[in-house]
Amino acid sequence: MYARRMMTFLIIIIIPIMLTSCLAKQIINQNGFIQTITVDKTNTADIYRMGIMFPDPEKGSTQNALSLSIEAENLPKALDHFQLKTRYSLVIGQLRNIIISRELAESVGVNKIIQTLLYNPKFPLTSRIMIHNGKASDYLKLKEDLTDYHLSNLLRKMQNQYKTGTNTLFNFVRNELEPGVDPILLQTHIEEGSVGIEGALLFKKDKPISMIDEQELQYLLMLRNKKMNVNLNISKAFLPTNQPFAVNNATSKKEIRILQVKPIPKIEIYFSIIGPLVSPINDITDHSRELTSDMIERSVEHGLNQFMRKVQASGTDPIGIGHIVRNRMSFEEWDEDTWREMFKKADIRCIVQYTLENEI
Amino acid sequence: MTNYYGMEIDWENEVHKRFSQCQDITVEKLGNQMTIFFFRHLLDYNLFQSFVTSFFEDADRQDGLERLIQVWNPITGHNQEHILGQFVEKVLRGEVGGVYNGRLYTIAVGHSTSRVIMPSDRESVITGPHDAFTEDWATNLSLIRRRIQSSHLKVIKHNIGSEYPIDIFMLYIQDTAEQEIVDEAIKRIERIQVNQALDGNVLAKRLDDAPFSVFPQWLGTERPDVVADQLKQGKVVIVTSNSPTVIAAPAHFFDFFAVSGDAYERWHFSVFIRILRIFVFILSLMLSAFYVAITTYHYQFIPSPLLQTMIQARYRVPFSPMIEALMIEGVVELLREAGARLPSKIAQTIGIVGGLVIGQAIVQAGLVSDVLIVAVAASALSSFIVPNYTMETSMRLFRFLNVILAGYLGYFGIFLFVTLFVTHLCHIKTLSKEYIMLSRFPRFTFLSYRKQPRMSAYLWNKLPSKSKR
Amino acid sequence: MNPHLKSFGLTTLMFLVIRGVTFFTLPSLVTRIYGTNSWILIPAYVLVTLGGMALLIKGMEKHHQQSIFEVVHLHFPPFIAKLFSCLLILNFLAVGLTIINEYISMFQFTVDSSVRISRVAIFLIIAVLIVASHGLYTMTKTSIILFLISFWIIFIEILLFNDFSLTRLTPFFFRGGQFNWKGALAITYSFLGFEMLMVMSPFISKTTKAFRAVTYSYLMLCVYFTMYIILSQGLVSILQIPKIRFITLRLYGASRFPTVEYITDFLFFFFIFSAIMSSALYIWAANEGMLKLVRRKHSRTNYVLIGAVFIIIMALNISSRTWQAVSFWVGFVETCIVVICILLLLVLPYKQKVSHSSDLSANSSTSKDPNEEMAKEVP
Repeated sequence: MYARRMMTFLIIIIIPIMLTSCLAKQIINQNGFIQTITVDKTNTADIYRMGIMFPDPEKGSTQNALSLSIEAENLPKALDHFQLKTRYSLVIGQLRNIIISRELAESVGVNKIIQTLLYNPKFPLTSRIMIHNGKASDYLKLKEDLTDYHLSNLLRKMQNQYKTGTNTLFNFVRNELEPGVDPILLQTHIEEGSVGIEGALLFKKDKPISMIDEQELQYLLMLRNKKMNVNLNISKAFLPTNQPFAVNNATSKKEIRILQVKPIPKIEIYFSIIGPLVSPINDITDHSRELTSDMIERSVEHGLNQFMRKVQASGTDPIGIGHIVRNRMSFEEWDEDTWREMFKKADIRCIVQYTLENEI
Repeated sequence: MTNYYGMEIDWENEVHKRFSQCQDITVEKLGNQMTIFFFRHLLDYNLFQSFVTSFFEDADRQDGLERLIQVWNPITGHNQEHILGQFVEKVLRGEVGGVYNGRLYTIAVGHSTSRVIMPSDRESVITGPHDAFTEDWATNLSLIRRRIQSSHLKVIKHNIGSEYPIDIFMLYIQDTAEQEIVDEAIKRIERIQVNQALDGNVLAKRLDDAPFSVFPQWLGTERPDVVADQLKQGKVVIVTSNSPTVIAAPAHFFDFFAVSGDAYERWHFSVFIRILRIFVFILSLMLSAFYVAITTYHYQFIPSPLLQTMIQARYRVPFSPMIEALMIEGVVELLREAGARLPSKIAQTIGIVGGLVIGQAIVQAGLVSDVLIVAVAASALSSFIVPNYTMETSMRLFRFLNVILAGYLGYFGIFLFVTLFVTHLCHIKTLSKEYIMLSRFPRFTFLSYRKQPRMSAYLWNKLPSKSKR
Repeated sequence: MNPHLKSFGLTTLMFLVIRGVTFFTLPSLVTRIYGTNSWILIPAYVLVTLGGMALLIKGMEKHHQQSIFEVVHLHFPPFIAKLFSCLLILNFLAVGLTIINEYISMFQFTVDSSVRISRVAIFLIIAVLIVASHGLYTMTKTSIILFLISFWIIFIEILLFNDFSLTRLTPFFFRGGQFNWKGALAITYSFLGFEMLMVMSPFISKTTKAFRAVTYSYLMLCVYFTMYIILSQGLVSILQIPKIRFITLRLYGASRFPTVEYITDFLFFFFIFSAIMSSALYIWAANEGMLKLVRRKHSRTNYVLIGAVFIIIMALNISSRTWQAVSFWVGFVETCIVVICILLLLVLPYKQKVSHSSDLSANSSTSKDPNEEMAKEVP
């Protein structure tokens, strides 16, 4: 009886002691949730200027982000330093944005920078990487609202609008490693105290080589994604009237057909676009009824083909045609660099079929 | 001194000795030859008066007595102690005892007034019968017999008192209840002896397969329609004297979530509400623990807009989420207990004080966060939806354990709890039958197989008449 | 006492046991060893396993549902029988412990490095022992409920997973892999679990078609594993898969839930049911062997001893490389045990047990007489 009581007493004492030391607590109001990491070049090789931004909930809902920066080899070393500068426990699990300066990306490559960041299994691979045209740490000087994280919400809006997303860390690494496709990243810029997207960068392996401006960004996304929502402006050159027209909220489906692989790849990219046509209101403007689907198709085709030439000239394949071509070759024959050369010379045609749903 | 039983004993004196110092007993003489002993408050005295008088109306005293004694039950036995013991026991049960010509007699003359049949406080329904059991076993048995008018309804009486008689009545429907269940119940009843005042729930704890388990293994109810339904399902039911709680077994897990009122509503609503009960039962166990786990360890689960709200809500709170949750759960339990013990007029005030003042004040003082108040309130409300009070009180304990495990181990603790909870549920038995049987879930959800809508019959009725046979 | 096991319970129990925890690394392993489109080998592995199981069940039927411990004690001299039983017991315990360790390691990976493996393992060990001590029937019933609680996760992958590309699968088969026997054998371990039937056989109802019931488990598992491997190979390219440690967790990360942010670790914890049931069954089987070995039959003491030993081993803070090596060799021994036991059951003739007074015990779990099978109770 005595032994049983002793045993019960010991269990009651030991179990709470065990419980208290199993894993470290991360109570939400004691945490600094790092929302943004910025990485800039320094004069020393392998040392980067790392900056973080996290909200300070105590001060209320506006202009209350805290930012810190330091020169360090990698993120854990930087965080060790930052932990001494704030009362919050800095945690990485809610990270949204990683902003790398273009200068740094061009000199060392994005892969090396990612390797300096990925030390924690909680590091979210769904965080978005962007290349900043200038000093990435300028972003830290912006004041972010506690409830409205400007840049990440902008990207989320784009994702909802286009029904597709490409900018995550996971996507970048995946595209970079897999054969037949090169990654892209969005480029940001700061204007009047606010961050915006000014285009996309094409990458060769992990270094940016050319930029696509915002007008052509949609074409790039159309070519990369199998299905997405698009808003297309129809060029006046293809219209019988002087009035502009737009195709809004249309669904674009893409299909790539490989006609020939050797000696020169012949590829046709079919787009099937279904959407309503938005035109100026009838009662107060001229409205030409001569507008046909053919005109819209020609306009979109022209834009796509022009864009395609530009991409080919850059020498990278962000579209993923190499993916499909590879499946047509034998397994051993594939070589990434050879494909880039073939891609430059390839005969790629974009063909659009437009179906008008409705006129608005 | 008389020699009727073959013993030279002054019975009247012996009876007086037994009831010495019992000043609530009434001793009367009928015609100087018969002495009667009774407790006026244990029988229907008016009935007794009219009963006795009726024998003396049109006869002289001697004839009247002769006629009276014929309807009385004589006491027989093999020794003085045995005879006297029977006599005393029957008088204590509310019968009238008489000593006449050296012989002992008793007769039952109704019951004393007891509580009238009223609706149950703890089990109320909106539609359906509102009668409930009382403390009088005869009334309780009559309520059951009215619903099951069959000679197959068997009643076995047991006395389980070790010092004083404590009667219990075991009921079952022959050919419906399995014989092994009946035999098992009888075996258990015969094993127990009590010397304390007994309620149905106390008796249930003595008859449990696993008395230390948190889960009740006998279904306690105050509603006769529930008992009738249980009997028709082949269960054994026990009525305890001086207790309005009748217990039934084997009680399966889903029986504790069934309310008789469901059968009286439209089928669709009943099915919905039964599924909802299971869902909110899980919610009441898990919600507070979930809140503690995600605010302490798993912040990544929270979507960003909600995360900011929760951080703002918590930033002044000095305690960890686990302490916060335990504190507010403790306050809810205090309010619940206070509300149950106090008179109803004051209890309503406590509800208002607790709900508005304490809930509001405690958040403004920065002791807990308002998001937690919402979680705990939802959890507490969800627990009220469990119809059986015993099951509901058991579940309340689990919430504390779950919160502690979540506070130290996060999701890991919660899932460990779920595993052990399910294992225990699968292990325990009720009257040697399994406590949880998945095959009973369709019956629970759809109330009975017969009450499922027959789609084919419905469609058949919709077809044009020429296509019907 | 408890009735015998029926089909559905057996199916769900075996499903949870066989799924275990190796399935998190299975897609990476299969891709690394066999290359592109290697998902096609999973049905082949399942077929081979089913073949082994068919032989095992044939052997069990030949011996009238006697457990392997019983058969060994009847046919071999006590010294050899005890030695063989000890080998089985130790290996079962080792399998149980490696499952616990693997789960806790993944737990640490998904949460953070502050997780103290030795401390957290204590709680998992206690839970496993509590489940095991409740007996086989309770474990089976529990597995039904846990299966119903957790099977819906697979629909998340089907309905909410949209980052899949058929092009990534490529039309090539078995290209880009680096085959080695060690890896191929390691994949086999993911399909082990059916050998528990040789200890569970006295407790399975005679009317239950054990082969059919466990085949259903394997079929579900085949679909499960194949689906996850296809999704993995469609999510990332073959060059990347071998580098990802727990690819299945990435799949959950790629599923888009409408209201919550990150469900990976939440969904990961649903697999604790598999880990607990799997480990508990092996420990229960070891206990059955221990009860056969010793004169005094105290299950509870056995479980306490097992728990103490497990806790001490976990407290030693053995490195993950050592654990991986131990895991591999334990699996190897388990595979050998399966082969040897199948051969024993097929080769040895049936021998009826003669009951001695010293063998009679309330806790004895093996059948005394085949004709009394139906009366046998499950502890």
